[in-house]
Amino acid sequence: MTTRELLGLLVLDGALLAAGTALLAGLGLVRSARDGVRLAGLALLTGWAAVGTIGAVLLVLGASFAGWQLLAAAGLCVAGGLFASGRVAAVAELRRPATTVTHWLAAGAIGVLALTVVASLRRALDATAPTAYDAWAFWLPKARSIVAFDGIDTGAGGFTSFAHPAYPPLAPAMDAAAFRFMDTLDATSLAPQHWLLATAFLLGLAGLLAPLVQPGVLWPGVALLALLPAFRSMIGTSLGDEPLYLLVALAAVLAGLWVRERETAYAALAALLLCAAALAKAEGLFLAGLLGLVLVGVGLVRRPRAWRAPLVVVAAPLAGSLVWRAWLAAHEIPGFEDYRPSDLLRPGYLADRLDRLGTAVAELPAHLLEPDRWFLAVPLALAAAAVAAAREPALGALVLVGVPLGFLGIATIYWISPLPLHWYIDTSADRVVGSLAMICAALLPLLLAAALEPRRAGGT
Amino acid sequence: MVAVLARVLLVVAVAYGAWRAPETIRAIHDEGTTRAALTETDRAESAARSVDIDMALLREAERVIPEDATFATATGELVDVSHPVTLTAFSDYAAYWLLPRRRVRDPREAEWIVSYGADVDALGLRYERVIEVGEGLRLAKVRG
Repeated sequence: MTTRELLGLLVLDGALLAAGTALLAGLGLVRSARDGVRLAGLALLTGWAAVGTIGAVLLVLGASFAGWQLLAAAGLCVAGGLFASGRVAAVAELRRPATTVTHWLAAGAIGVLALTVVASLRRALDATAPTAYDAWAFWLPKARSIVAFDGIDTGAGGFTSFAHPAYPPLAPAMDAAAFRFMDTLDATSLAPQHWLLATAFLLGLAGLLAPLVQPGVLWPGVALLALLPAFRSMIGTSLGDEPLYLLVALAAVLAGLWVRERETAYAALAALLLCAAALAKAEGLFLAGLLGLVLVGVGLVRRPRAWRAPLVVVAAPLAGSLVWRAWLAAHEIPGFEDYRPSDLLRPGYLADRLDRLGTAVAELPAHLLEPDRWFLAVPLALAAAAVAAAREPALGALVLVGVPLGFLGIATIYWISPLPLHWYIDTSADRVVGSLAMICAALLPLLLAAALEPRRAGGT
Repeated sequence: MVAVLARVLLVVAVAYGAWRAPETIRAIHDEGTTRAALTETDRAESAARSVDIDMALLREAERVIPEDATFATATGELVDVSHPVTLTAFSDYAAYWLLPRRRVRDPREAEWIVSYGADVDALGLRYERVIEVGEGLRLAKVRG
């Protein structure tokens, strides 16, 4: 990485951090310098998601995606966040739990996390260009074309000339942003930025949960997540799954916090991250809808009822997705060809290929439970959710209902898809179920904390 | 009872993580060491090498084809390949590598042909010049 590239990323990430911090202030999550430091990782990802979402809209509107436009988008977030911070009350301080797990556990876990992060940085600084087929077949070319042709070009060799033109634009847009600020199209220079976002995710998760989860539970959970082989191997690939993992996992934790603490700010932030997820990959909309609907169910069952905030969680990603779909329709770009949700309304079609559903249901668990990819994240989270449900039924339901529903949803995709089944599973299942595994891993500390604490008065 | 079960799960998580951590961190470190030994060219061409694409053709295309030109790719049996997807991957990789040059699907609409093992004479086009980059690897400037 050259000095020019490093300085460019500093400018971009500085803008994203400012945008995210202001948005968190506007939501009432940051009201002091201490909050700002604790939630800096979350702020960077929030800024990335917000500027990415605005950037995707700018592309749809025909913008050139110049650096000043991205800085203006960040400025808009700063202005909006600061405006709201004067009118929105601070989120109620979370109760610090009594420490019942030894601090030595936290210290050891922090040491492991630090070693992992530093080793990963060293690897990122000498990274090769992404080698995943899909990365150079369409994700990276789309990013490069945004820079080379100043926006979404629908002509020969442009954005829509590459495979899967209907895939939403946020992931390549944010790689394009990095290219733009680094003043290069060299894909080997992207890895440090991806490392930074992954590190921000880990620290953001820790910062978000630190006031609620005792250190001896929190830091082992975050360290375990950092070590997950499938997570580590995804970072730096420039595949659309990469931001999806981070956004959906954080959104799930925010959803869990909303369930526990009933603060609208958590649901609002989850809505923003899920909107970005829906604009990052087609499955993002499905996962966003899944989380949103589980929250709507929780909101309707609990007393007093709270359904408005979950509806925003459903509506925001839908709105983002509709913006992109409207652009596709206006430019007569064929829709997503891997599967069509409308096929779910064709009973004869479904019945004729019921065996595909059976195969998917039988084969997908192996991808989700593979210890060499996800360690024991999924079974541990399911078990922790079952235990936590005794004290916090709604929090437990987030995993006990959400993950199986998500699994069935993914199996349904393979059921209705026209693609050859075994080829489709072999080439995609590992990545597609990964979002569910990330949700499990990210929620594990919160679930264990809920199970370890005495039952709260008026608990969920 | 709930707290006891939670502690059991925490112990399992920590024990498993502690067991897997050393090998995992070592793997990251080893990967970093391997990468540190690579040259700039190795890093840039890693994806092409993963599907056994001979980069000599694309490097020459990068040098010769103007950045505002269009090109089409053609593949065939005139080049030896050792990877099952080399020929099917070549067009996509060329489109990625040669940006901002624009890939067109129809050779009749292209200013240049980037041929990986194809018989360019069989495309039915006339050429101003043909550059032999290597065995079966050719660049051809289409007569405008």
